[in-house]
Amino acid sequence: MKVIIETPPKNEYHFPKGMKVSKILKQLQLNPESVIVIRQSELLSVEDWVNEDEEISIRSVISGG
Amino acid sequence: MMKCIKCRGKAHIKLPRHNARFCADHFVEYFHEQIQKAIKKNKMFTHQDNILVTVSGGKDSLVLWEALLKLGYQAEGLYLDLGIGDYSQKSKELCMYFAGKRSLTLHVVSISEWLDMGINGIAKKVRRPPCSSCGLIKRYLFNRFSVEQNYQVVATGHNLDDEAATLLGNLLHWQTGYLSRQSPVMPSNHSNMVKKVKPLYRLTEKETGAYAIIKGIDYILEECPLAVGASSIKFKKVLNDLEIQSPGTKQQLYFGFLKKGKKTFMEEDKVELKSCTRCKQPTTIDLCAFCQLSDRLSSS
Repeated sequence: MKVIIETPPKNEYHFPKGMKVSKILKQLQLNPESVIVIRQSELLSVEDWVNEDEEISIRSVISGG
Repeated sequence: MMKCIKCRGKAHIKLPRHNARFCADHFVEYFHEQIQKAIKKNKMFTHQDNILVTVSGGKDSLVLWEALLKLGYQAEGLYLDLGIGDYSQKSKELCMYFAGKRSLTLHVVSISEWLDMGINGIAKKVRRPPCSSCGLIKRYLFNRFSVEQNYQVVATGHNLDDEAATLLGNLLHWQTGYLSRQSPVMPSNHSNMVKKVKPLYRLTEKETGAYAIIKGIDYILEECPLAVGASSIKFKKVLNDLEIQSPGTKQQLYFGFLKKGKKTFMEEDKVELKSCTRCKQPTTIDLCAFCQLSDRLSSS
Protein backbone atom coordinates (compact mmCIF):
# COMPACT_ATOMS: atom_id res chain seq x y z
CA MET A 1 0.00 0.00 0.00
CA LYS A 2 1.23 3.46 -0.94
CA VAL A 3 0.49 6.41 1.34
CA ILE A 4 1.17 9.92 0.03
CA ILE A 5 1.35 12.83 2.44
CA GLU A 6 0.00 15.65 0.26
CA THR A 7 0.66 18.59 2.50
CA PRO A 8 4.13 20.08 2.03
CA PRO A 9 6.77 18.90 2.78
CA LYS A 10 5.40 16.01 0.73
CA ASN A 11 6.30 12.48 1.73
CA GLU A 12 5.57 8.88 0.73
CA TYR A 13 5.28 5.68 2.74
CA HIS A 14 4.82 2.03 1.78
CA PHE A 15 3.12 -0.67 3.85
CA PRO A 16 3.45 -4.36 2.90
CA LYS A 17 -0.16 -5.26 3.75
CA GLY A 18 -3.67 -3.81 3.89
CA MET A 19 -5.00 -2.21 7.07
CA LYS A 20 -7.62 0.10 8.55
CA VAL A 21 -7.21 3.85 8.17
CA SER A 22 -7.07 4.25 11.96
CA LYS A 23 -4.07 1.89 12.10
CA ILE A 24 -2.29 3.69 9.25
CA LEU A 25 -2.69 7.01 11.08
CA LYS A 26 -1.46 5.46 14.32
CA GLN A 27 1.64 4.05 12.61
CA LEU A 28 2.40 7.45 11.11
CA GLN A 29 1.66 9.13 14.46
CA LEU A 30 -1.03 11.35 12.92
CA ASN A 31 -4.01 12.64 14.88
CA PRO A 32 -7.26 11.69 13.02
CA GLU A 33 -8.69 15.09 14.02
CA SER A 34 -5.87 16.88 12.16
CA VAL A 35 -6.02 15.09 8.80
CA ILE A 36 -8.32 13.86 6.08
CA VAL A 37 -7.70 10.67 4.13
CA ILE A 38 -8.58 10.38 0.44
CA ARG A 39 -8.72 7.42 -1.98
CA GLN A 40 -9.29 8.51 -5.61
CA SER A 41 -11.33 11.62 -4.59
CA GLU A 42 -13.30 9.55 -2.06
CA LEU A 43 -13.20 10.64 1.58
CA LEU A 44 -12.23 7.75 3.86
CA SER A 45 -13.27 7.40 7.49
CA VAL A 46 -11.03 6.00 10.22
CA GLU A 47 -13.01 2.75 10.01
CA ASP A 48 -12.32 2.15 6.29
CA TRP A 49 -10.06 -0.66 5.14
CA VAL A 50 -7.30 -0.02 2.56
CA ASN A 51 -6.02 -3.00 0.51
CA GLU A 52 -2.32 -3.64 0.01
CA ASP A 53 -2.49 -2.79 -3.72
CA GLU A 54 -4.21 0.57 -3.16
CA GLU A 55 -2.95 4.14 -2.88
CA ILE A 56 -4.26 6.78 -0.49
CA SER A 57 -3.46 10.43 0.21
CA ILE A 58 -3.36 12.12 3.60
CA ARG A 59 -3.85 15.87 3.90
CA SER A 60 -3.34 18.00 6.99
CA VAL A 61 -6.29 20.27 7.75
CA ILE A 62 -4.49 22.53 10.22
CA SER A 63 -3.91 26.04 9.01
CA GLY A 64 -2.36 28.88 10.94
CA GLY A 65 -1.32 32.48 10.90
CA MET B 1 -18.86 -1.21 7.36
CA MET B 2 -19.50 2.00 9.26
CA LYS B 3 -23.02 3.23 8.45
CA CYS B 4 -24.52 6.71 8.09
CA ILE B 5 -26.83 7.43 11.04
CA LYS B 6 -29.39 8.99 8.67
CA CYS B 7 -29.66 6.56 5.72
CA ARG B 8 -27.64 3.48 6.82
CA GLY B 9 -25.51 3.84 3.66
CA LYS B 10 -21.70 3.79 3.80
CA ALA B 11 -20.42 6.49 6.14
CA HIS B 12 -17.49 8.64 4.97
CA ILE B 13 -16.90 10.62 8.12
CA LYS B 14 -17.15 9.99 11.85
CA LEU B 15 -17.85 12.92 14.18
CA PRO B 16 -17.22 11.65 17.72
CA ARG B 17 -18.26 14.96 19.37
CA HIS B 18 -21.75 14.52 17.96
CA ASN B 19 -21.65 10.72 18.26
CA ALA B 20 -22.47 10.74 14.53
CA ARG B 21 -21.38 9.12 11.27
CA PHE B 22 -22.46 10.47 7.89
CA CYS B 23 -22.43 9.51 4.21
CA ALA B 24 -21.30 12.31 1.85
CA ASP B 25 -24.82 13.64 1.18
CA HIS B 26 -25.88 13.69 4.81
CA PHE B 27 -22.57 15.21 5.86
CA VAL B 28 -23.23 18.11 3.44
CA GLU B 29 -26.73 18.43 4.91
CA TYR B 30 -25.27 18.50 8.47
CA PHE B 31 -22.64 21.06 7.38
CA HIS B 32 -25.27 23.40 5.90
CA GLU B 33 -27.47 23.02 9.00
CA GLN B 34 -24.60 24.08 11.26
CA ILE B 35 -23.98 27.18 9.13
CA GLN B 36 -27.69 28.07 9.12
CA LYS B 37 -27.78 27.63 12.88
CA ALA B 38 -24.79 29.97 13.28
CA ILE B 39 -26.36 32.58 10.99
CA LYS B 40 -29.81 32.50 12.64
CA LYS B 41 -28.65 32.24 16.28
CA ASN B 42 -26.37 35.25 15.89
CA LYS B 43 -28.55 37.19 13.40
CA MET B 44 -25.54 37.39 11.06
CA PHE B 45 -27.36 38.33 7.84
CA THR B 46 -30.42 37.63 5.73
CA HIS B 47 -30.99 36.51 2.14
CA GLN B 48 -31.47 40.20 1.22
CA ASP B 49 -28.00 41.31 2.40
CA ASN B 50 -24.99 41.71 0.11
CA ILE B 51 -22.24 39.64 1.71
CA LEU B 52 -18.53 40.01 1.04
CA VAL B 53 -16.57 36.80 1.66
CA THR B 54 -12.86 37.37 2.18
CA VAL B 55 -11.08 34.54 0.39
CA SER B 56 -7.45 33.51 0.80
CA GLY B 57 -7.27 30.47 -1.50
CA GLY B 58 -7.33 28.22 1.58
CA LYS B 59 -10.03 25.63 2.22
CA ASP B 60 -12.07 27.48 4.85
CA SER B 61 -12.85 30.68 2.96
CA LEU B 62 -13.60 28.91 -0.35
CA VAL B 63 -15.78 26.36 1.46
CA LEU B 64 -17.65 29.21 3.16
CA TRP B 65 -18.28 30.96 -0.16
CA GLU B 66 -19.52 27.70 -1.75
CA ALA B 67 -21.81 26.87 1.19
CA LEU B 68 -23.34 30.37 1.37
CA LEU B 69 -24.19 30.21 -2.33
CA LYS B 70 -25.69 26.72 -1.93
CA LEU B 71 -27.82 28.13 0.90
CA GLY B 72 -29.11 30.87 -1.43
CA TYR B 73 -27.21 33.86 -0.02
CA GLN B 74 -25.83 36.70 -2.17
CA ALA B 75 -22.09 36.47 -1.66
CA GLU B 76 -19.22 38.03 -3.59
CA GLY B 77 -15.50 37.52 -2.92
CA LEU B 78 -12.52 39.68 -2.04
CA TYR B 79 -8.97 38.42 -2.40
CA LEU B 80 -6.25 40.48 -0.75
CA ASP B 81 -2.88 40.01 -2.46
CA LEU B 82 -0.31 40.10 0.34
CA GLY B 83 2.64 39.99 -2.03
CA ILE B 84 4.16 36.80 -0.57
CA GLY B 85 5.87 35.56 -3.77
CA ASP B 86 4.72 32.24 -5.26
CA TYR B 87 2.38 31.59 -2.33
CA SER B 88 0.29 34.69 -3.07
CA GLN B 89 0.39 34.04 -6.82
CA LYS B 90 -0.86 30.46 -6.41
CA SER B 91 -3.55 31.33 -3.87
CA LYS B 92 -4.83 34.17 -6.08
CA GLU B 93 -5.03 31.83 -9.09
CA LEU B 94 -7.04 29.30 -7.06
CA CYS B 95 -9.52 32.00 -5.98
CA MET B 96 -9.85 33.22 -9.57
CA TYR B 97 -10.35 29.65 -10.79
CA PHE B 98 -13.03 29.02 -8.14
CA ALA B 99 -14.88 32.24 -9.01
CA GLY B 100 -14.47 31.82 -12.78
CA LYS B 101 -15.82 28.25 -12.76
CA ARG B 102 -18.96 29.43 -10.95
CA SER B 103 -19.30 32.83 -12.73
CA LEU B 104 -18.93 34.73 -9.45
CA THR B 105 -17.67 38.25 -8.76
CA LEU B 106 -14.19 38.26 -7.20
CA HIS B 107 -12.53 41.55 -6.29
CA VAL B 108 -8.73 41.58 -6.05
CA VAL B 109 -6.93 44.20 -3.97
CA SER B 110 -3.17 44.30 -3.58
CA ILE B 111 -1.58 45.69 -0.42
CA SER B 112 1.30 47.06 -2.50
CA GLU B 113 -1.24 49.46 -4.08
CA TRP B 114 -1.73 50.90 -0.60
CA LEU B 115 1.66 50.57 1.06
CA ASP B 116 4.06 50.21 -1.91
CA MET B 117 5.34 46.82 -0.72
CA GLY B 118 4.30 43.31 0.33
CA ILE B 119 4.05 41.83 3.85
CA ASN B 120 7.69 40.65 3.87
CA GLY B 121 8.99 44.15 3.17
CA ILE B 122 6.62 45.71 5.71
CA ALA B 123 7.63 43.27 8.46
CA LYS B 124 11.31 43.96 7.85
CA LYS B 125 10.86 47.73 7.84
CA VAL B 126 8.76 47.97 10.99
CA ARG B 127 10.61 45.11 12.74
CA ARG B 128 7.40 43.39 13.82
CA PRO B 129 6.30 39.77 13.23
CA PRO B 130 4.71 39.47 9.74
CA CYS B 131 1.44 38.03 11.16
CA SER B 132 0.94 41.10 13.34
CA SER B 133 1.22 43.61 10.44
CA CYS B 134 -0.78 41.24 8.22
CA GLY B 135 -3.71 41.10 10.66
CA LEU B 136 -3.83 44.87 11.01
CA ILE B 137 -3.70 45.47 7.24
CA LYS B 138 -6.32 42.81 6.49
CA ARG B 139 -8.79 44.17 9.06
CA TYR B 140 -8.36 47.71 7.74
CA LEU B 141 -8.60 46.95 4.00
CA PHE B 142 -11.46 44.45 4.36
CA ASN B 143 -13.47 47.02 6.29
CA ARG B 144 -12.61 49.98 4.07
CA PHE B 145 -13.34 48.05 0.86
CA SER B 146 -16.70 46.77 2.14
CA VAL B 147 -17.77 50.26 3.32
CA GLU B 148 -16.80 51.87 0.00
CA GLN B 149 -18.49 49.12 -2.03
CA ASN B 150 -21.67 49.14 0.08
CA TYR B 151 -21.58 45.58 1.41
CA GLN B 152 -23.74 45.02 4.52
CA VAL B 153 -21.55 42.33 6.04
CA VAL B 154 -18.08 40.78 5.74
CA ALA B 155 -17.87 37.01 6.25
CA THR B 156 -14.61 35.23 7.06
CA GLY B 157 -13.80 31.50 7.08
CA HIS B 158 -12.79 31.21 10.76
CA ASN B 159 -13.79 27.77 12.04
CA LEU B 160 -14.15 26.17 15.49
CA ASP B 161 -10.45 25.22 15.62
CA ASP B 162 -9.43 28.81 14.82
CA GLU B 163 -11.71 30.23 17.50
CA ALA B 164 -10.78 27.67 20.16
CA ALA B 165 -7.04 28.18 19.48
CA THR B 166 -7.41 31.97 19.62
CA LEU B 167 -9.35 31.67 22.86
CA LEU B 168 -6.70 29.40 24.38
CA GLY B 169 -3.97 31.88 23.40
CA ASN B 170 -5.92 34.82 24.82
CA LEU B 171 -6.57 32.95 28.07
CA LEU B 172 -2.96 31.86 28.49
CA HIS B 173 -1.88 35.50 28.24
CA TRP B 174 -4.98 36.97 29.92
CA GLN B 175 -5.60 39.29 27.00
CA THR B 176 -8.80 40.71 28.48
CA GLY B 177 -9.30 43.21 25.65
CA TYR B 178 -9.20 40.47 23.02
CA LEU B 179 -11.37 38.20 25.19
CA SER B 180 -14.05 40.89 25.37
CA ARG B 181 -14.17 41.16 21.58
CA GLN B 182 -13.84 37.49 20.53
CA SER B 183 -17.18 36.59 19.00
CA PRO B 184 -18.80 35.01 15.92
CA VAL B 185 -20.25 38.47 15.23
CA MET B 186 -18.58 41.87 15.45
CA PRO B 187 -21.38 44.39 15.10
CA SER B 188 -20.93 47.75 13.39
CA ASN B 189 -20.22 50.32 16.11
CA HIS B 190 -19.28 53.16 13.78
CA SER B 191 -20.68 54.74 10.59
CA ASN B 192 -17.60 53.54 8.65
CA MET B 193 -17.61 50.02 10.04
CA VAL B 194 -19.19 46.94 8.49
CA LYS B 195 -20.49 44.02 10.56
CA LYS B 196 -18.09 41.03 10.54
CA VAL B 197 -19.27 37.44 10.90
CA LYS B 198 -17.81 33.93 11.15
CA PRO B 199 -20.49 31.48 9.91
CA LEU B 200 -18.16 28.44 10.19
CA TYR B 201 -17.54 28.81 13.93
CA ARG B 202 -19.63 25.69 14.73
CA LEU B 203 -17.59 23.48 12.35
CA THR B 204 -14.11 22.03 12.80
CA GLU B 205 -11.20 22.32 10.43
CA LYS B 206 -11.52 18.61 9.64
CA GLU B 207 -15.14 19.18 8.64
CA THR B 208 -14.30 22.08 6.30
CA GLY B 209 -11.56 19.91 4.78
CA ALA B 210 -14.03 17.06 4.27
CA TYR B 211 -16.58 19.42 2.67
CA ALA B 212 -13.88 20.70 0.26
CA ILE B 213 -13.09 17.11 -0.83
CA ILE B 214 -16.74 16.14 -1.25
CA LYS B 215 -17.48 19.30 -3.27
CA GLY B 216 -14.27 19.03 -5.33
CA ILE B 217 -12.96 22.43 -4.26
CA ASP B 218 -9.31 23.04 -5.19
CA TYR B 219 -7.50 25.00 -2.52
CA ILE B 220 -3.92 25.83 -1.60
CA LEU B 221 -2.30 23.04 0.41
CA GLU B 222 0.81 24.99 1.33
CA GLU B 223 0.79 26.84 4.62
CA CYS B 224 1.60 30.56 4.46
CA PRO B 225 5.44 30.54 4.60
CA LEU B 226 5.36 33.40 7.09
CA ALA B 227 3.04 31.49 9.47
CA VAL B 228 5.47 28.59 10.03
CA GLY B 229 5.90 28.13 13.79
CA ALA B 230 2.89 30.36 14.56
CA SER B 231 1.48 29.93 18.09
CA SER B 232 -2.00 29.28 16.71
CA ILE B 233 -0.76 26.05 15.06
CA LYS B 234 0.76 24.85 18.35
CA PHE B 235 -2.49 25.58 20.20
CA LYS B 236 -4.49 23.71 17.57
CA LYS B 237 -2.30 20.63 17.95
CA VAL B 238 -2.70 20.67 21.73
CA LEU B 239 -6.47 21.05 21.43
CA ASN B 240 -6.68 18.20 18.89
CA ASP B 241 -4.74 15.94 21.28
CA LEU B 242 -7.34 16.73 23.95
CA GLU B 243 -10.17 16.30 21.44
CA ILE B 244 -9.11 12.72 20.66
CA GLN B 245 -9.04 11.84 24.36
CA SER B 246 -12.23 13.72 25.11
CA PRO B 247 -14.44 14.44 22.07
CA GLY B 248 -16.19 17.81 22.22
CA THR B 249 -13.38 19.63 24.06
CA LYS B 250 -12.96 22.39 21.46
CA GLN B 251 -16.70 22.99 21.26
CA GLN B 252 -17.11 23.01 25.04
CA LEU B 253 -14.23 25.46 25.43
CA TYR B 254 -15.48 27.97 22.84
CA PHE B 255 -19.24 27.63 23.23
CA GLY B 256 -18.85 27.68 27.04
CA PHE B 257 -16.84 30.89 26.76
CA LEU B 258 -19.50 32.53 24.58
CA LYS B 259 -22.26 31.49 26.98
CA LYS B 260 -20.62 31.98 30.37
CA GLY B 261 -17.20 33.66 30.16
CA LYS B 262 -17.33 36.47 27.61
CA LYS B 263 -19.70 38.80 29.47
CA THR B 264 -17.23 39.14 32.37
CA PHE B 265 -14.61 40.61 30.06
CA MET B 266 -17.09 42.80 28.17
CA GLU B 267 -17.96 44.67 31.36
CA GLU B 268 -14.26 45.23 32.05
CA ASP B 269 -13.22 46.41 28.64
CA LYS B 270 -15.55 48.99 27.10
CA VAL B 271 -13.94 50.97 24.27
CA GLU B 272 -15.38 53.90 22.35
CA LEU B 273 -14.67 54.20 18.65
CA LYS B 274 -14.01 57.49 16.89
CA SER B 275 -12.98 58.44 13.34
CA CYS B 276 -9.36 58.53 12.27
CA THR B 277 -8.41 62.17 11.74
CA ARG B 278 -7.01 61.32 8.30
CA CYS B 279 -8.88 58.40 6.71
CA LYS B 280 -12.14 58.54 8.78
CA GLN B 281 -11.97 54.79 9.48
CA PRO B 282 -12.91 53.59 13.00
CA THR B 283 -10.18 53.78 15.64
CA THR B 284 -9.72 54.16 19.38
CA ILE B 285 -6.93 56.73 18.93
CA ASP B 286 -6.67 59.94 16.83
CA LEU B 287 -4.61 58.55 13.96
CA CYS B 288 -5.54 54.93 13.23
CA ALA B 289 -2.97 52.12 13.34
CA PHE B 290 -3.03 51.72 9.54
CA CYS B 291 -2.26 55.40 8.92
CA GLN B 292 0.50 55.22 11.53
CA LEU B 293 1.94 52.17 9.77
CA SER B 294 1.74 53.96 6.43
CA ASP B 295 3.61 56.98 7.86
CA ARG B 296 6.25 54.75 9.39
CA LEU B 297 6.84 52.94 6.09
CA SER B 298 7.17 56.15 4.08
CA SER B 299 9.49 57.83 6.58
CA SER B 300 11.94 54.95 7.20
